[in-house]
Amino acid sequence: MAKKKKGQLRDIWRRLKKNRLSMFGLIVIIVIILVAIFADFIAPYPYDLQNYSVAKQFPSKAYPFGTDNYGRDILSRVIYGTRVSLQIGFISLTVGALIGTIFGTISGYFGGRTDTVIMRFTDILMSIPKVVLAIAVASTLGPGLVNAMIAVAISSIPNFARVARASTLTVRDQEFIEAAKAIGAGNFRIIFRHILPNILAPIIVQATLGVGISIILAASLSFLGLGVEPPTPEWGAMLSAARTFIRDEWYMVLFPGMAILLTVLALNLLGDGLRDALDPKLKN
Amino acid sequence: MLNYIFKRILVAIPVLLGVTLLVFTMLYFTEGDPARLILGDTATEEEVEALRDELGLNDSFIKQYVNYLGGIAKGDFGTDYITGRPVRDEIMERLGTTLKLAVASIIFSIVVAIPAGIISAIRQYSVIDIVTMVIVLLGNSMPNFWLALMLILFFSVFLGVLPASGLYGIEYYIMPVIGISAGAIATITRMTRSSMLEVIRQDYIRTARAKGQSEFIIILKHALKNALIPVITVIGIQFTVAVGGAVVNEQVFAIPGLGKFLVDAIKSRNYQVVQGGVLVIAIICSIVNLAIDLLYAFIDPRIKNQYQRSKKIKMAKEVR
Repeated sequence: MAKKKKGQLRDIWRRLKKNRLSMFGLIVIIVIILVAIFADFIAPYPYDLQNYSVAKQFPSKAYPFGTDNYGRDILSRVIYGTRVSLQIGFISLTVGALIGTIFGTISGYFGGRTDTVIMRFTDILMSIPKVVLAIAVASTLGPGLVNAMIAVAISSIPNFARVARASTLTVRDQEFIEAAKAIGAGNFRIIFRHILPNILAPIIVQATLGVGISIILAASLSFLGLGVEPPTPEWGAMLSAARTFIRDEWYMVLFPGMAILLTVLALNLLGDGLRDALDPKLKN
Repeated sequence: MLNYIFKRILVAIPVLLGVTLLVFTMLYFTEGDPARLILGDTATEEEVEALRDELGLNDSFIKQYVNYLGGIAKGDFGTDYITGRPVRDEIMERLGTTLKLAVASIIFSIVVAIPAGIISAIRQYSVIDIVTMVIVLLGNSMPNFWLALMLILFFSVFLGVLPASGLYGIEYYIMPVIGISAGAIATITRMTRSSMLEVIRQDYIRTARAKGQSEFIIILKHALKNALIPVITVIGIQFTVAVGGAVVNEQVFAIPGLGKFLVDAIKSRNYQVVQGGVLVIAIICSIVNLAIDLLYAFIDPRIKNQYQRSKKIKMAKEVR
């Protein structure tokens, strides 16, 4: 079993490696993660160092991305911002994906009334736009990093529930599940040992694309002033603060957005490649 | 068919009830005492307590929820404690603006995305296809409010041709609509392209070609009819996304719609307004999705057949 798994992984990796765009995405993501980890060494200035004598400086050698209205180095803030955004993106997505997948699998496996109740609940969550749902949750909990994560996590539950349910439905009636039932395996064991490993592929794809969506959602919340609060260097919060200066200090608005674009673009490229690599049949 | 419509509407009711319960519960657990907020810091503890009684805030959760639901059924969304006006009136004044933005965006997305997807599919791997796919990828990777800011930077600051705030005429719609619809355009284009690619490889298209039908008619008449079926399903979801986009973009363009009202209300802890705003948005999105689902049933012969077949089987059983 273990040997076969390794072979499968190697196959997937071999297919993924052939996709140059995805490899580019993967490399960019690794670089961004390294930047987040080593921000203290890479960033030229502390993210909260205010120096009014150099406020609103145009990008230069000393300040490659310019400085903001407090004289803080925008490059350093964008670099530290990778920490915050990746944290929110990955943690909230993992929580949302876990909850969504478990409910989706239960829903698909048991069917009947359980399925109806869980699906109606995801319908409820999906009938509210993600941003508005996150706004409502954030307004209940108040602003802040952890609360923003909770808000984003809740908004990502229904997608995973849907994907997990649909995949479970295709696996549920296959012979190996019947065999497991025949030898007396309990529902819990069947779900965790037999169904979950077989529906992981679509969930991993959804997760890769989902991190990007979560990063954008968190940035939107902070942009509206309901997420991460200043002076924490979060890209959405930076854009929100820079907005008033768009007429003369356009670089303040440009770079934090470029950081979001690059991160999410890389995740999307990797996600697309993973989808093709995990399920070659789907590729057209 | 009627059976399906009836069933689908029946499903929408518990969902809407669930939305009211969700919104109510969230606001119920929000920190801060509404009575204290209304009266301000100068009021005595007794005055606050009296108002709490009057507002029913000391009732049990269930009683409060039932009262809330009863109010909604009568169109009563509570009172804005800052202005003292009914929340319903305040929402109605602003709802139109948000809906205009969302509807304009969804129409714009469809008009741009479906032709783009078709051309991309019939010219697969051509320059047009590659350019389209790059735009799709970018559209899916940037926050809509940042795209909106970049549009302002280019069209308002550098070129000075478009107004950067407000909503007073047709030219004011251009940038918000592009900002809101970028994501929907990306999704619908991609969906149309892959759906079209699948359909044009099917046998009946080859048959149409073999009988000498012109390519134009094959694409527009034979292929498109089937290719658009899955595309329609995503339009309902994209409408929900567009409403969310409008909420954020109203903030960017200082448009006095429901979204801006909602965000401002959260900041001033005006929770009756938040509750009402979220609820109205959810109801509208549910209704639009319901309408799209029903439309889908009319268009997709498979759903129609499913119900007609089950009726036939039932009839056959009864005869027996």
